[in-house]
Parts: sequence; C-alpha cells; structure tokens
Amino acid sequence: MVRARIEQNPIVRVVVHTSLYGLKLVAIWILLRGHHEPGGGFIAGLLIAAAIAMQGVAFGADAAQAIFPIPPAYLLGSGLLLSFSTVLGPALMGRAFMEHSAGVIGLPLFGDVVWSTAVLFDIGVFLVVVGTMKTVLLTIASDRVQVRPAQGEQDTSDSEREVS
Amino acid sequence: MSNLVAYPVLLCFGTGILQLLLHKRVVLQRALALLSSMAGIVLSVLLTYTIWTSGIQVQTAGGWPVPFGITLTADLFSGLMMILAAVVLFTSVLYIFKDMDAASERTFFYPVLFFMMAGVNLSFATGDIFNLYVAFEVMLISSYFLMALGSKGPQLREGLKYLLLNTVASSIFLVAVALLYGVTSSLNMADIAAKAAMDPGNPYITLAGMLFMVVFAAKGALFPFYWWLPRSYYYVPNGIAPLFASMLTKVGVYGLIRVFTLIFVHDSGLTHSLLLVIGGLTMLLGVIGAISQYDFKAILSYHIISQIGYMIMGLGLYTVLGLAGAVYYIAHHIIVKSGLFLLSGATSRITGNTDFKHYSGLLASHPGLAFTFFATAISLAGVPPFSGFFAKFALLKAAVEKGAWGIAAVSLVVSFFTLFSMIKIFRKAYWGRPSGQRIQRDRKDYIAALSPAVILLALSVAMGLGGGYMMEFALATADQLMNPAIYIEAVMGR
Amino acid sequence: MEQALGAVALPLVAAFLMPVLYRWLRWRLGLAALAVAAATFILVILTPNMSLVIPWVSQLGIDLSIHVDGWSRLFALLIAGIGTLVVLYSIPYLGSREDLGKFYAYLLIFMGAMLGVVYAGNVMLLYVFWELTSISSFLLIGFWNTRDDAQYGALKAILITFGGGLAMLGGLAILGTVGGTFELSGLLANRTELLAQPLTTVALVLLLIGAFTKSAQFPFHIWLPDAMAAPTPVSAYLHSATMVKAGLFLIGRLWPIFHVHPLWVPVVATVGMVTMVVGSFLAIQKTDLKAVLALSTVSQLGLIMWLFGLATPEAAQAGTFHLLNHSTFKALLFMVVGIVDHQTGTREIPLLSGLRRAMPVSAALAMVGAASMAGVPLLNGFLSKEMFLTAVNNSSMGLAGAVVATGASLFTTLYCLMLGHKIWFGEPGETPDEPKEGSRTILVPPLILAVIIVAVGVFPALAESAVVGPAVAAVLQAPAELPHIALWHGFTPALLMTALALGGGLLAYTALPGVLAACRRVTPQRYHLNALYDFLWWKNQAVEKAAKWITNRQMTGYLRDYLVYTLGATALLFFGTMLVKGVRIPALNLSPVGPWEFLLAAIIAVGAVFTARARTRLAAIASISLVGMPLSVLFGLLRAPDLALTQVVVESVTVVLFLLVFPHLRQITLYPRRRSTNVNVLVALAVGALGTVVTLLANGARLFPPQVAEWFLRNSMELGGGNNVVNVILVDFRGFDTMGEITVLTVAGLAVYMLIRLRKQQAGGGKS
Repeated sequence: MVRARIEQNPIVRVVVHTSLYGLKLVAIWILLRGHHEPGGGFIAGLLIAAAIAMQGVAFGADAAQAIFPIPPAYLLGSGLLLSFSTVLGPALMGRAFMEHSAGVIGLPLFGDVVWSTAVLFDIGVFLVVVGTMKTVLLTIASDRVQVRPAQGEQDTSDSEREVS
Repeated sequence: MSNLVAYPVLLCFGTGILQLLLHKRVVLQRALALLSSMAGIVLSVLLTYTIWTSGIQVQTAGGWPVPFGITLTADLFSGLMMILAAVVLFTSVLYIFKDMDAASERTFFYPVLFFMMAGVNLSFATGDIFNLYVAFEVMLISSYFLMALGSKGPQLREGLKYLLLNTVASSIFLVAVALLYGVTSSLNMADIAAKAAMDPGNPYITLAGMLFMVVFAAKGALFPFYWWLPRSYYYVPNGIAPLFASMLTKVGVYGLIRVFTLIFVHDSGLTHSLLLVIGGLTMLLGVIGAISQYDFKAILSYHIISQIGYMIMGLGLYTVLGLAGAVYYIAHHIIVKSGLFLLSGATSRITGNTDFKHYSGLLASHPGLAFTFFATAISLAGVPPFSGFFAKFALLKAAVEKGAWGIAAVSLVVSFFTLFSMIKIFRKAYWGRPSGQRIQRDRKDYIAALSPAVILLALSVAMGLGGGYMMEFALATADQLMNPAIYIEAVMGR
Repeated sequence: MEQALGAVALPLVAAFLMPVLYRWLRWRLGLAALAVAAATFILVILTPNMSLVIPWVSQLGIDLSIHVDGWSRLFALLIAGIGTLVVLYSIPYLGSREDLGKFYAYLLIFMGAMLGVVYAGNVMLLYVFWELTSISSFLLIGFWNTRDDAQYGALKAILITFGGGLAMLGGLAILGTVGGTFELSGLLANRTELLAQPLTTVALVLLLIGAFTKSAQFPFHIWLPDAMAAPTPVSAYLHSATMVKAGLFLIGRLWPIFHVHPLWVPVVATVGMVTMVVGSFLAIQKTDLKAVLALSTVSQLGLIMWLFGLATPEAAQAGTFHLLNHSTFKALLFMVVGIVDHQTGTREIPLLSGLRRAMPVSAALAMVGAASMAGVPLLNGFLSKEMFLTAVNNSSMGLAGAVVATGASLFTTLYCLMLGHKIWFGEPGETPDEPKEGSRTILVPPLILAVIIVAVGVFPALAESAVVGPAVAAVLQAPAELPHIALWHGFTPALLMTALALGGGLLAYTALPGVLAACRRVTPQRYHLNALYDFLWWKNQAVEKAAKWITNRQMTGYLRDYLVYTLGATALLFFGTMLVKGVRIPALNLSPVGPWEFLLAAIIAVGAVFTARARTRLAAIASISLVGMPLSVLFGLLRAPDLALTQVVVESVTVVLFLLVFPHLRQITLYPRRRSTNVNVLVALAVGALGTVVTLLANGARLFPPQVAEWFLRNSMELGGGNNVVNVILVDFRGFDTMGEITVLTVAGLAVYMLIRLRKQQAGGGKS
C-alpha cells in the first residue's frame, strides 16, 4: 500500500503542509498574470490539483476535500458557467458570441487596473481544472482497494473478448 | 453576420451546464431537457430556413476576422444535420423519461447528454478543422460516459475498446491536422479549400486527405475501421442507444462528406474511387454481420455499418444526384434507425431481453409495437413508399448514370439481405407462438414508450410521401456541396 | 379520373380503419370490408380510359401518373370483382374466431396496391405498388404465423418476390436512364432508340426476372405451392387470380416495347413453356388439393407466359383471353377446395372420395371449374385453350411446340380429373369431420364464378367486345387483324390436339396409380430447387452460417487485433498514397541541434524503451517520467515556457494519479512471444514512421506563408489585450476551442465519478 506508507511518513507530511500555502499563492499569481506572462487558468488549476493530490496522498481524502471546500460538481458547473457566460453574453447583447470586452478602471489601492472578460473566461477554466482533478482524486481515493492477482493469458482473453 | 449559426451549439452547452448545477434535482433536469430539445428543433429549423432563403450562414467566434478566429459555417447540409439531431434528441428524451434506470439518471446523465449534443452540433456548425477536432473530443468523452453508464462488466469491456480505438482515431486526426496546417498554414476549412484549389492535385494535400479519410472512416465506422461498433453499441443503455445509433457515426460521415466535397476534391480519381470501394465493402460486410446475428439489438447494430456504406456510396459517386441521394439517405437513416432502436428498447421493456432465444410471438399481444416495427423495418430495407426507397433509388440511379455497375449491384444485393434480416427480427420477435416472460406494465406506460417511435415512423412516411420536397432540398444541398466555391466565397468573400 | 384515384385510395385508406372498426363490429367486420370492396368494384367499372400525371418526386422521374387502358381495365375488373367475391366468401369461411381486423386490413391493402400496379402509367410508380403487393402477400401468407409452414411459406415468398423486385428495380433504373423517362408513354415513344442501346438488353433481362419471380415462373415457381399456407380466400385471390398475374401484367406492358427484341421469344416463350410442363407434371404428383391447385396455377401461368413470349398478335389475344378465364375457374376451384377443407377437415386426396353425396352443389361447381380448366367445350377454358394450341401451332416453334403443348395439356386433363372426379365419386371415405354441404353464403361466390364461366363459354363475343378486345389492343399498341373468338372454328389442328389431350388424359386417369408411380420415378427426390432453397435459407441456413463465418473471422473480439487492423490499414493507405503519388520529403531548413538536445533526446529514447520493457507498474511509471520530464526541459530550451510549465505539472499530477490507482490494478501480465507479435512490431514501426514522415512534411512542405501565426503574434496585445500570445489564443482568438476542452475535462471527471460510484452501487446490491 503505497498510500498508507506515505501517510505515515512525517517528513512528507511536513513538507506537504508547508508547501501548500506556497502552491496556492503561486497558483493564484499564475492565474492572474497569465494574460501577459507565462501562465493562465489551465496551469494554475493544475497546480492546485497537484496540491490537492499531495494533500490527499499525505493526509487522506478528507484533508484534500478541505482545499476549495465546495463539492466538485459545483466547481465544475460554476467554472463552466463562468466561461460560458463570456461566450453567450456578447451574443445576447447583439455582438458576436465570445467577443471579449476589456477596459481600465481606477481602484483606490491598486490604481488603474486593466479588466477583461477574457480573465473571467480564464477563471472559469481554472475552476474546471480544479474541479476535474478534485473529482478524480477524491473518487479514486475513496474507492475500496481490491487486490486482484495477475491473470493467466487464457483468463484475460475471456474477459476481454466476446464473440457472438 | 448573425449568431444564429452558433445558437444550436450554445443551447446544448448552456443546457448541460445548468443541468450540471442542478444535478441533485432530476425533475428540473428533465424539464430542462424537454424544453431545450424542443427549442433545439425550433432553432435548427430557423437556421436552415435562413440558409435556404439567404445563403450560407457564417459567424466567427469573438468577431475576429476570417481566417484567424474560429469560424462557424452552416450550409444546407449542416442545417439539415442539426435539424435531424434535434428531432432525434427530442424523441430520445421522451423515451429516456420512460426507460432509464433511476441511479443512472441521477448520475450526471442529462448534463453529459447535452454536452454530447453540443459536440454533435458543433461538428456540424464549425468551419474550422481544429475546432472540429475539439467537437469530436467533446463527443467522444461524453459518448464514452453514456456508453459506460451503469458501469456493468460488458459495458466497461466493450466501452474500453470503443474509447481506445476512437482515441487512436483522434490521435490520427491531430496528426492529420498538423500535416494540413503545415502545408496550408491555416485551420479555416474555407481558407484551406481556397488554397488547395490554387494548387489542384498537390500530393501533400492528397496525403493529408488520406489521413482525414482514415479519421472520419474510423469515427463513422467504415471498413476497415468499424471494429469498435457492433459490440459496444449493443451494450449502450436502451434509452440512449437510438441517439448513438443514429447520430454519432453520422458525424463521421458528415466529416467525410464535408472535407471530400470542400477540400480534397482535386484528386477525385484516387480519393473518391477509393471511397466508393470502401463504401461497397462497408455495406456488404455490415449486412453480412447483420444476417449472422440472432439478437434484435445486435442485428440493428451491424446494420448501422451497412447503411453508412450507402452514404459513402453517394459521396464516392461524386455527382449531384449521388450526393443528393447520400443526403436523403442520411436523413432517412437517422430517423429510421433511431426509431428501430427505440422499438428494440420498447420490446425489451416487455420481454426483458433482446435475444430471440428468449421470446417470441409478441404480435398477438402487442400489435401496435409489432406493426410500428414492421413499417419502420421495411422502410429501412428500402420498400416503397417509405423514405428509404427514394433515398436508395436516388443512389442507384446515380450509380447507373455514372456507369458504376459494381456498386449498383452491391447496393441491390445489400437491400435484399437487409430485408431478410429485418424479416428475421419480425418473424422471431413478433411472429410465432407467444413465449418468454412478459413484464407487466400498464397501458399508458406502453403507449408512452412506443410513441417516440411512432413519431419517427410518421416522419419516415412523410419523407417518403413528400419525397418531392425532400428531393428538392437534397438536390439543393448536393448542389452546394458540389460547388465548394459557394462555401469558400461565403466565408472568405467579405 | 376521380374514379381511378378513388379505386386505388379507397381500399388503402379503408385498410387502416379495419383494426379500429374490428373493436366495434367484431365478426361483422367482413360486411364492412365487403362494402369497401363492392364500392371499389363500382369505381373500377366507372373508370374510363384516361391518362393523368400528378407530380410527385419529379426530380427522380417518379410521378403519380395514372394510365387506364383496356389492359389495365381487364386486370382492374378481376382485382375488384374477384376481390369482392373473395371477401364475401371469407365471411363464412373465417368465422368469428380469427383476427379479422388484421386479415381485412392486409386484404384491402393488397387490393389497393394491386389496382395501383395496373393503373400506374409510370413504371416506377408501378414498382412502388408492386412491392406493396409483395408485402401484403407476405403478411397474408403468414396470417397463421404460429404455424411453421406459414412462416416458411411467407419467408420464401417474400425472399423470391422481393429479390426479383430488386432485379426489376435495377432494370428500371437502367431503362429510365437509357430511355430518359419512367413514363410508359415516353418509353413507348422512344422504343426504337431504346432498342438500339446495348444496355437495354441488360434492363430487359432484369425486368423479366422481376416478372418471372412474381408470376412464379420456372425456376422461381417454388414459392407458390408453399404460399398455400395462407387461408384459402387468400390463395384464391392473390395466389391464383390476381397477384401472380402481376408479372403477366408487366409482360403485357413491356410487350409493345420489347417483343421485337431478339431475346424476347427465346427467353419468355421458353420460360413459359418449361413452367407449363414442370407445373403440370408436378401437379399430378401432389396429394394435397391446394398443392395440386398451386402447381396447376404455376402451369397455367406458364401457358400464358408462353403465349406472350410468342410475340404474335394472335398469341397475345389468346394469352389475354386465357388470363381472364384462368382467374375465373381457378378462383372457383380454390373456393370449392376451401369448402371441402372446411367441411371435412382435410385436403388429402387419398382420404377424400364419394363426397358428391354429402356435398352435391360443391361437386357440381368443382366439375364446372375442372372441366373448364381441362378445356371441355361450352366452357370458357375450351375457347382459350383452343386459341393457345392454334397460336403455338402457328408459331415459329411449330410442331415441337405443338407436341409439348399437347403433352402438358394431357397432364392438365389428368389433374383436372383428380379435382373434378376423383374426390367426388366412388365410396365415401373416412374424413376427420363428417362431410356436409357448405352454407348458402359460402356457396354464392363460386356459383357466380361458375355462371360467368358458362356465360363466357357460350357467348364469347360478349367478353371479347367488353374486355378482351380492348385489352389486346392496349397490349399490341398497333392495329391488327385478329380472328373473333368463336365457339366453333371447324376441324382445325387445335381441335385435334384438344381431343388428344382430353382423351389421353382420360386414358391415363384409368391407370392413375401406374402413371403416378412412373412420374415419381423420373422426378428428382433429393436434388431439386426446393432442396437448394432449404439448404440456403431454411433447414441448413447456409447463408446465415456463411455470414457468421465471415463475421467471426474479422470480429475477433480482441482489442489487439482491432488495433492492428486499424493502424495497419492507416499505414497502408498513407504509404500507399505516398508511393502512388510519388511524394518526396522536401529538404528541411532546421536550426542546428545542440549537445543538450541530443542528450535529452537520448534520455527520452531510453525512457521509452524502459517503459515498454517494464515488468512492474511502478517501474513503468518511473520510466514514463523519464520521457516526460526531459521533454519539458526541451520545451524550455526551445523557449516555450508555457508548454514546459504545463508539461511539468501534468507529469507530476499523472504520477500521483497512477500511485492512487495502482492498488486497484492487476499486475502486468507478460505474454509469450508468438507469430502475431511480428505483425504487431511491423505495424508499430509503420505507425512510428508515419508520425515521423508527417512531422517532416508538416515542417518541410509549407506551400503558403504562415499568415495566421504571424497575425496572432502581431495582434496579441493590440486586439487581445495580452502579451502572452499563448494565453490570448487560448482564451480569446481560439477561446471557443478551450470552451470545448474544458467540457471534455468536466465530462472526464464526471466519468471517473460515475464509473466508480455506479460500480460500488452494484456491488452494494443496488443501494444508493
């Protein structure tokens, strides 16, 4: 049992625990800067997914669930909805579908900030990637392990094959 | 420039997303499914009517100029396919309400169904070869989900073959796109077609065409790539099988017809003759598979292959009448095949089985079911005055006019075997002494399960009796397909 | 014109009401059907000669074209007239226990379809109705489908007639393409050009196959005897009086176009002659009354076919007249046999004798029918038989034809005696039911037919002027001097032949057992057409077995086979095209490859080899990392930071996923090397080569400048509002692709959830 062994390893646990915060921060940073520098929603989502995976391996499914503590299906749904709204919205407003808008607004502390619906789309991508990885990891992690022996060739053929 | 061409796709995406968010509320998901499938019919008819009156509809995502953005392009062929997809979705949804086990229905069934339809509609609407790849991916993963829904042993075993063989095809798709992009530096199909026309018969483009032939032949279950279909479709849950059988492989056929009437048209002596041979072998081997079976659903599954051969026959002939026949045939096939799978489902709801070993003699107790099947089945075999007859006859006439005697003879022989296997189902399932178990259900339930098939049969009859209108539309569609310049100009010309 | 359309439409529409009406009317449904049939008959009588075209699928040349002339009127009268009598007959015959709703629905569909065949002025429209008659015939033969013989007969009938129909369809397609139209009038007008085309011969042969299968001509006659599994009214109507004459109808329609074709006489006359001989020869050997009648129908159809095949006007006249007469006496005989079957419970000739005492009216009717068929004077059969013998005698077949015709007629006399004498006279035998005369209603229809037989026999001029004359004129399509049909022609060779046939038949009848034994000795018992049919389609199911063999060869069920087929075919197509088209890989203009790149490539190669040879999953996943990680470094070196970053993260997540999944998987199974492994290796190499070639081509064979890529780079900031062009492409320029891809991701996630969740539920006994 690989997972069981890793869970009992204190070094892994400490490393994972501390690196989590860093990973989250990096992910957000990569997500938001993505439009100008290397990065974007996809990679950011994958980073969070990696964090969830590590958390899951180190502390079990419950701990992994605690990162973005929303049921994964809603993560997926809201991510898709966010991205989709930037696709459908312009069409409903009489422009070409998926025509992104951008502009500059002045904020008190940050000064002039460039906004773009493209970033909303990217956040949607981020949420979907996180949601997918979370669904997959949690489902697999919660599945019972059945140890099955290696099979002889004849046996494999039968299970693979059906001839009518 | 209107978004109309995008709406059938966006409708399916939006419906799926809402249903995903409402995944705990099955009743609301059902209501959404019903409303959305009806809206889909309205939108696709509206789109097709617009194309009919004012030409090919083009819109680019984000409003980017052609050929840089992703262009959605719908000609009559696309419009017709979207209508058919919407109609079949509607009847399937009606049937699904009756015949889908509760646990499966609760497990994200509806969202994935609509994502799959989004992929299907996107395939028909897109004018961008890479976007077509994306649409195929959406379809593939969703169809795998639906195929394996229920997670039973044989489903997983055959589903894996389906997934793997189709993933191989997808990889080849990517390779083919890479080659085509490398040669033409474009992903926009109209742009590529325009460039291909500048250097007609360029061997690199023909080579890319061969790869696309493989890709779409694999998706459309043509010889020698159909291996995944017969067994995997057999295990698709009854509620979704009609949709799979009628729509999914037709997307591959659509792809073949699209690229081999738009882009790869300059070496038709090689490509289209090859398609004719492939079409002939497909229809022959498919029907041979069908007559070797003794199971309602298995016979129907093999017939899908056989009938795809007819469609490719029309493409291979590459004349206006041939393509019109193919278009007519596709429309006929989607309606009728869907109906037959619905009837297979309705029958196994009564008998609990599709294998003829386990039941017979339903005619006496369920005459409505038996005769709906009989009429739909002979329509499939091409017996007049149903839709199948005119479709087959148009293809036969096109073959005779072109002097393609081999394929003409094969198509007649296949018709014969098709009738034989349809009669076999009728004899084994409905004729004979009543035997086997009967699952008791009330009459209302029986009628509700039967009515979607009756709707489709009525459509087949209408497409036969109104054959003149249907043929006029098919000829206009074929005319557009045979003149790629119309398509290119609609996209590039502004 | 309304009458013609109404005559076709009325029964077709009424047919769909029958099952509904059956709920209310029960056994009285027959009366409703009778009203429909009678109304149709009146419409047919009122229908004048006419032509009319209503556009339908004009693009294919198929229109609702109605053409009524003498030829169609003859058939229409038979269809509607005998149809009415048959419906009347069926009411007492079927009683109230049968599923009358279906029965009358099928019967009326047939009636409408058959009228459609004879009224069609467009050969494609004719085909449409033609197939509809095959379908209704199939359903009627299979009416008692719980019985094996009904299923057998129905399948045989539809396979042969539908198969012939498809041949005919092919012939029609050729005919229409060569002649430029499917309209009968148009084809007729173009006949000289048509006959000059070599393709017309192919079309003719295919059309004749259609006509021969429908009219049960040798060697396609085998379906008709087995069609007798249908209820007797159906046999009387479809399988003797009308549907089997559709082939003859078509022959009559083709006659004016093709009778001068060099193949016409040799093929049509020979087939007709052989059919007549074979039919009558087999008929006498049967012991089932309906089988005797069926084979006698085959024989008589052959006779008529022979006449049309002779291609002379007088033969056509004789054929037309005999067609009318045959319908009357054969329908009558079927009805009487039905009564016998109904009243005694058997149709076996050896069990039946001396019935005239119990059933005197039936006996008289049967004798009239049988005598007419044998050609006894004063009955209509005598007249047309005479004309047949004369026509054969005067034809190019001459004496040989006359001898064959006389011989076949001798056999005809023999089975007519069995039908008209053997079962009625002698000592009464033991039958399952005590024989008694049929009810009055059931005797009315055959009585009407008997009256017609005698009336036409005595006053032939009436039939000639009303029906036969116009029909012959329509067939000939040209004025011709024809002798009038008369009772007495003087001492002609035909009279001698008739006398020989009747006398010889009587003589043979006195020595019947010996004759039958002799006949059976020369009839093949093991190798005959029915045995061939049974071998292919029924008992041995050779066709299905062959199909299964072919299918199992390719559909092996092994994924590895399918992959080899798929990839092998791909490689074959690809490299085949390269070879045919002479594609060469163009020179590449590449930047120099540095030492780092070589090193990374080497690591990747080693990783790939290790992965393939790994014996545990852990080793395999470690080796895969050896492929993935250097790849991301390579991306970095090539200045693709986004790709590099993504590759690294994907790689790590994959490893974690694998670690999670491993405990659920079986250990790797190692297969011994076998012969197919070599093929696998070959295919794998070919696919690798394909990938390499495509990569080289994609980079070396640019025909056009990379305008799209340059446009993206130029406009990323200005239009997309971002410096990172990769991201701008992903979320904006080609963001719609991304929309699709995130849907793929979502569904993939849901799929994993569904697969595991639903499997657990099954394991947990379906609890949710």
